[in-house]
Amino acid sequence: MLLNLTDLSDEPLQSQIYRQIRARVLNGELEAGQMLPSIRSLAQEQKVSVVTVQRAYESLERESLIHSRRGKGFFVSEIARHDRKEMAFQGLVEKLRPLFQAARGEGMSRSEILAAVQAILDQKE
Amino acid sequence: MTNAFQINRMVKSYPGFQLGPLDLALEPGKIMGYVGVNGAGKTTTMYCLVGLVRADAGDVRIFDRPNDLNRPAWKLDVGYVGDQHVFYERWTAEENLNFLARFYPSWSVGKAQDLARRLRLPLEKRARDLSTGNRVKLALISALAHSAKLLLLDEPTAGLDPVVRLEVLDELMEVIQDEERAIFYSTHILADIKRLVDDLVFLDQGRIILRSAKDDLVEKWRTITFYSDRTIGAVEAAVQIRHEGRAHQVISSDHEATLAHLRALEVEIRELHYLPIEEIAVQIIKGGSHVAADQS
Amino acid sequence: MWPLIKAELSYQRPFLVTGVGAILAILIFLWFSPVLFFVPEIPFPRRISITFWFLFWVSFVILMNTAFPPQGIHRREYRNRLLALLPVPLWQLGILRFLLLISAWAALIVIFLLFLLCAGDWDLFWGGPTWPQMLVSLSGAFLTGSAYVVFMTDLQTVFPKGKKFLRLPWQPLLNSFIVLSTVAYFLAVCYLILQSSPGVKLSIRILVPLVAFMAQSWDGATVFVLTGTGMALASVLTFQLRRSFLE
Repeated sequence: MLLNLTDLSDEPLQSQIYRQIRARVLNGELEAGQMLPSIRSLAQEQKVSVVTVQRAYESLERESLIHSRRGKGFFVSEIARHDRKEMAFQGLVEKLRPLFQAARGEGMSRSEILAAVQAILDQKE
Repeated sequence: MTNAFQINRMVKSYPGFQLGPLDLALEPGKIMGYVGVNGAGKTTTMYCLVGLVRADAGDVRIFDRPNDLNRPAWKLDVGYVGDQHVFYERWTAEENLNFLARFYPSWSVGKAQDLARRLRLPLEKRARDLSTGNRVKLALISALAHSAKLLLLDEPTAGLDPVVRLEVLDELMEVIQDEERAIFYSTHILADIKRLVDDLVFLDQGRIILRSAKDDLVEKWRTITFYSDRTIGAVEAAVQIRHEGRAHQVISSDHEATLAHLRALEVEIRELHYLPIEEIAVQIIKGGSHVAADQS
Repeated sequence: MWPLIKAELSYQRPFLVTGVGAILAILIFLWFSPVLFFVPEIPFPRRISITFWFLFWVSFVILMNTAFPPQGIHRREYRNRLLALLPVPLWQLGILRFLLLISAWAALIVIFLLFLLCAGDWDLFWGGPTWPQMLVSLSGAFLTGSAYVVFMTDLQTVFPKGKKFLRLPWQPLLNSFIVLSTVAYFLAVCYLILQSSPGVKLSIRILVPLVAFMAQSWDGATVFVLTGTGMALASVLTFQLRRSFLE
């Protein structure tokens, strides 16, 4: 599996693995029923600790994004479309929360924050 | 389940220094980092494990066999790279490896040659003509070629210049995960092993002050920046706290506890960052048992 | 154990070959050169006894080299660390060390006996030292000396690093025995050489009994060789008692 893990970021590797697999599950790149690499082989491939991969998989499993079949391995779960949307929404909210907190700290008002969000979305188009 | 090694209440005393009592076990297939400053006792621990030095008290078991020097079957499962590398100096690297091969039934010549190729070790050179880096490589091959189930590596990259160090590390990290082995890696530079290591054990002045899964430590520790007009005294689980006017920065060994405390104090939490494992290690070693106690 | 012995011997082969070669050359010179030590007309039988003293000197040099290796010419390699890590029982390493201890001397004796065989005359005594006893004595002395040295290096590790090793009560006794016996041997041999020179008769009365005991009687020879063998075997044991193989 092609992952983009870096030591230079603040973010722990476990979190990076979790986030990147999560993103691919939510956007459909990893299809329901598809088998994930075993913990050991992913650890070997990415040169990380087996425990790190294990914990990332556990987090994914807790969120019902993947499930394990005893003796077989880990598989992407079937996630209904609206659940996908819901998860992506929640994910964005969680990511934005600290950013907005920081913005508030810099003295920005609610309307100013909304304007910033609008500017970004306009840019993308 | 048989542990790769089991150290029970081991003590080794030297004038002015005591290692232990030490209790430590390593599960098979796990990679354990043994961290401590120079002089903390890491090398002595290795010596006691491998039989180069006899402990004064306690015992050591390797795959549930005592590390008895007169019944050395346990050594067949162990590969060791120590702080000094001894070879037959007038023999070539290859002759040295062939010599060792006669003692290990599980030695694979093909494997040794493959490792030599990957590490770029000139096998036809005499041991005394090898550079330090090459000596380390030869020592590594000696430890790896018989498929040991337990690898004891005592700061294998110590004393290597940066280029050679990376070269060796690269291959070592590649090879380490090849097979299911238990690895005990002692170092004072965590950067070498931080990605691969499962558990970390911190040694300070001859005593183990903390053992924890690496990922646990990374998850728990944070730096937290917050603003407050009030004077802030002690903060829950704060290992270090700095103030600059309204701004305060805390290094926390348990961010959830710290955050809960800070919320109770009604301060403005501004930033939350992960700490690189190297910094966590520094804080643990600096703080000694006092910091470590909060972790368990 | 055999791979170890084979390895060590093959490793030391260059030294053994040059060493033995040089000694052979000197032995031939001692036996067949017309003039020896500015003393003309030393009959061949007497040269045999001089040979002993030469062989003893050689073994003494080997011994000192073992105990205090010179830096620069030939740096002694310390392989305890390597060997102690091998999956070989400790007692076998002790025996290996014992065998290496006697190998140099054993090689010399074999060469000497071969030469004697070639000379064809076993009855080369003339009232001087009887060579079988002396040979046996010397072997014992050599064994005692070298065993003593390795013995001491072993016991040093039994006591904590950093502390000068304890003065064991019998150590000064053993030291003086070795020094005295070495001196006695040298003096005895000088006496024997000089005794053969016409016109010079040095009676070193005090030495004669000691020399007689050491070099002429089987009792003396037995004492030496038993002490030597005993100590050499003890060195196998003391190797096991070591607390550290770090050197």
